[in-house]
Amino acid sequence: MKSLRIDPLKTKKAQMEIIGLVVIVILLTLGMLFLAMFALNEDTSKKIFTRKGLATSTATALLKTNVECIQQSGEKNYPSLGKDVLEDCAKNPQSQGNSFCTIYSCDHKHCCEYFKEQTTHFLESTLGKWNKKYEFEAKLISPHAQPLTLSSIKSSKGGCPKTKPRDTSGLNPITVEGSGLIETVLYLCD
Amino acid sequence: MNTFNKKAQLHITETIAVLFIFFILIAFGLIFYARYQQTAAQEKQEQLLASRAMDTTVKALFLPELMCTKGEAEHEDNCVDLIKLNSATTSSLPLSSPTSPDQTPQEPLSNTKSHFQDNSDYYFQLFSYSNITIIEVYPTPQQWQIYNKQKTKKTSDSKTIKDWTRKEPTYFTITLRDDLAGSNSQYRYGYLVVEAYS
Repeated sequence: MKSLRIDPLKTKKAQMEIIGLVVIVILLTLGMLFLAMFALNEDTSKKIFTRKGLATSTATALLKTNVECIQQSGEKNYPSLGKDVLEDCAKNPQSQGNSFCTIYSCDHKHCCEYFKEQTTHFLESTLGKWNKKYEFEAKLISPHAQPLTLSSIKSSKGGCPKTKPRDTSGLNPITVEGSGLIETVLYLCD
Repeated sequence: MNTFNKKAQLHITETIAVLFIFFILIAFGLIFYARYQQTAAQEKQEQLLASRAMDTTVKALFLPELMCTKGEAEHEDNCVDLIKLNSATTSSLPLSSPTSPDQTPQEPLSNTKSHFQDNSDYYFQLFSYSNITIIEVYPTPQQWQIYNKQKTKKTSDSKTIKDWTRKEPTYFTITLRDDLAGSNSQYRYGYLVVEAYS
C-alpha cells in the first residue's frame, strides 16, 4: 500500500521535465519553420519579367522578319514570315490537301512547310541556344469552322505544358482576308 | 551523508551533460545561420547583378541612337535601325558559327573609335561595366559591338588584369530594320546580348 502512494515532490519534478521537453520541441519547430520560410522565399519576379519580355520580343521579331524566298520561276522576293508566308499558309492549309500555295512557294516548298522550317531555325538559333524550352503554335480561327492548327513547333528539349510555369508572348492576331484570323502564340519556360 | 553526496554529484553531472548538449545545439544553430547568411548574401549579389543586366538591356533597347523611328511616328519596339547601327559602330564582324552566345567578343572589334567609344564617359553612366553586342542571325550572321567596359586593375608589375568575378548575360530577340534594301524596309532577325560584370 505504501508503494502506491504518489510523492507530490516527484510529480512536480516530472512535470517540470515534461515542460522542458515541450519547450525544446517548440524551439526546434520554430527553427524549422524559419528555415523553411527563408529557403522558400525566393524572388522570382525579375526572372518572370525577363522571360515574358523575351517571349513577346521573340514572337514579334519572328513574324516581322523578311525571308529570302526563291520562287519556282527563279524570281527572288522577301516576304514577311508572319504577314505574308503564314497568311498564304492559312489560305492554302497543307493539312486540307493543298499541295501548292497561292503566292509563296519558296525553295520549292509548300508555304506551311517553309514557315515551319524557317521558324524552327530562328527559334533554335536563339531560344534553343540559350537552353530555353519553348512551344510555338499558329492557329486559324474561322467564324464557321473549328480552329485549324497551321503550325506547331516544340523545342528539341521538349515543350512547355500547361502544368509547368510558363510565360506567353500573348496572341499576335493576323487578319486573313476571307478566311478569318491567325493567332500565333509562343510559350517559354525553363 | 555519503548517499547524499553521491546524489548531488549525479545531479551535477546531469546538469553538466544537459548544458553541454544545449551549447552544442546553440553552436550548431550559429554555424548553420552563418552558412545560410553567407549563401543568402551571395544570392543577393547575383540577384542585383541580374537586375543590373536587365536594366542595361532595357536602356540599350530604347537607345534613341539605335532604335527604329520614322519621322514623328511612334518608335518600333525591339527594333534596331541598321543605318544608325552602322554609323554608330565602327564595323561588323561575321560570325564564324552563327548565334553562339559564347562567341560574344570580349575585346573591341576594331581599332577605329566608334560613336560609343568617343562618348564613353556618357555611356558609362548608362551602362556601367558591361558588354553590349548586337548579333544578326538571319540572313547574314554578323555582329556589332556597341559598348564594352570591363572592370580592370593594375598588378604590381603594372599589368592590367580583369577585376570581375561574375558575368551575367541577358538576351533579347530583336529585328534589324534595313531601309536601304529596296523600296520597302526589310527586317532581319537577330538578338541583343548584354553581359553585366561584377
